[in-house]
Amino acid sequence: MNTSEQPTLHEEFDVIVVGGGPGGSTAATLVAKHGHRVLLLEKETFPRYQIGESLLPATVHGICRLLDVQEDMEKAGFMVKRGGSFRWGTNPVPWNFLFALAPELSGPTSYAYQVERMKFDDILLRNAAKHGVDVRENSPVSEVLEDDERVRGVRYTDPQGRVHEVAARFVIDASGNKTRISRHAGGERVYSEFFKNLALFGYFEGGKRLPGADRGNILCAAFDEGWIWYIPLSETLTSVGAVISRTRAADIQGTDEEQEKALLGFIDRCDIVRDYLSEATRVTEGTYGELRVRKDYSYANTRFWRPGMALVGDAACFIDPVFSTGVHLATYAGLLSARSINSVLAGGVSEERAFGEFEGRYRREYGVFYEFLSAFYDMQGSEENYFWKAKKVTAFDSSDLEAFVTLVGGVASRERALTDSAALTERFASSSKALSDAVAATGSMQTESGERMNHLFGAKVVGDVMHEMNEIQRRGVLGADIKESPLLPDGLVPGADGLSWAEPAGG
Amino acid sequence: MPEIPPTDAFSLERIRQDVADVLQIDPQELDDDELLVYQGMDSIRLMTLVQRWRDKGTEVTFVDLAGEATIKRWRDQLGTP
Repeated sequence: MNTSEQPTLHEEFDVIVVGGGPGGSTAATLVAKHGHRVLLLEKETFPRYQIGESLLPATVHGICRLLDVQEDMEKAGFMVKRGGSFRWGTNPVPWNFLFALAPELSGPTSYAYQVERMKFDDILLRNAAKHGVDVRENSPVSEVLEDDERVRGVRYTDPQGRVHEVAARFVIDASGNKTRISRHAGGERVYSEFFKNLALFGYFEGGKRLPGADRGNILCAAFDEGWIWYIPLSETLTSVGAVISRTRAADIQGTDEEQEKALLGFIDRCDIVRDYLSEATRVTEGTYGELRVRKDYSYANTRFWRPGMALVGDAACFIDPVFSTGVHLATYAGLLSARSINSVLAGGVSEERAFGEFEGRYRREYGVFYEFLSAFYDMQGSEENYFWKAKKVTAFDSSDLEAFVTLVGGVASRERALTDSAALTERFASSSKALSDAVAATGSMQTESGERMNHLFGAKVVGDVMHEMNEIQRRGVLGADIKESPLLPDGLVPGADGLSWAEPAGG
Repeated sequence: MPEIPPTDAFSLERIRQDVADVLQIDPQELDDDELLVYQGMDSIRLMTLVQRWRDKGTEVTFVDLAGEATIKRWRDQLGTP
């Protein structure tokens, strides 16, 4: 709008979203859909590389439908995954975690995608702009404007180097695990000792595929020192990463040659991945030509919001990648934050109550995945190696467990108050037992029983992680036609269009 | 019509009506003995039924109902006295 040389230094919006990844794009689009003025500030210029390539059905069939981006997703031609295949636990043959309960119940929503994040994140960001979000790339935020009462806006630098001050009722920090502004929400990041892993990853051309209907599945394969992800991104391109103990940091952070040697060494010790890559070559040019290292430390912030500000995605919390939870947790939080903002701006619900619901649900989701993943790692723990020994539930450090109790509190469990680490260890151990029994009863992939998920879905710890994902999917498919019960004690329920909160009927 | 007592929340007629609602068809089109997956039931609609019935006080789960999904069997499972 401003045609003169003089930069516009002061602006005002209803909401500022910092960060244009899936969490930020989701929050921005769903707030804009309620007619509010939204500014999204992204420090990079899209498309840009990102890791976290495996999606879950709740994102594809729930969030993407709420975002009206189904068509773009279908056009992109992403690899279809019908679940995950795991060489994990006592079975030497991989077993499947499929999204469909049974072959005859395999419906139009029983799949997800493997995505090149350069493409997926770009689709969501352009879609935000299409919905009226003012998207500004190459625009890093340098400061949060706040006073004792609340956060009131941000200061950022535009591509020409001019500094802008923008005021808003709400600021969403969706700027990822390297966020520089999350502390303005008033809390601090607490790491989990248990999940302090490192990932070393790269890309291969010509890797083999799992047989038949499983060809698009993610494969996660344990080996003595950790596990490897094997994600088919196209017919020929595969994303391969080794997740290992942080004690191996020195071995994987050297020169390119040393890094390649380390990755190939891990692959060599993981039978199934070694076989799948036996005729493949590593990509050495372009975006996928680099070997990268990332700290896969799990963490959560002690506060997810304060008046005027909320944390979404990796800025708020991160959990181990083995179950493809990154994009789900981020877009789920994007949806929750949009519901809260839309409710407060419409005047129906107080900020305290709306964001209490945001934080309560978000922590519950983090907590149920934390318990599920603890059980999942415990299952593999027969190995003698340090990586796996340290991941037995019984090896959990009690101060780590107490930190977990503080972070997710009684919210993770509606049945039993989690008060001390001994009770928690006992509970995680029983979740692990139930999960490994269910895996044993399910059996190997592509067998009669291995196609049926009734044992796995019947395990309580799996039911807990599926609950909200199922609700989001149901909402995406059936639209306004669905009714949800409160998830939290005395909690709110989604309003008719799923983009705001309402008091439960007859409550 | 007398008011339906709460124990009848899971009568054959009510179950048939609830199923017909989520499938958006007439209850008379439903066959009580045929597997519901052949009559248009999918996992999303099944979740809706589970939610609706749990709100009425049953503890039934998605996995319970999905096992062998017919209206007759659901009637037995939902435990009408």
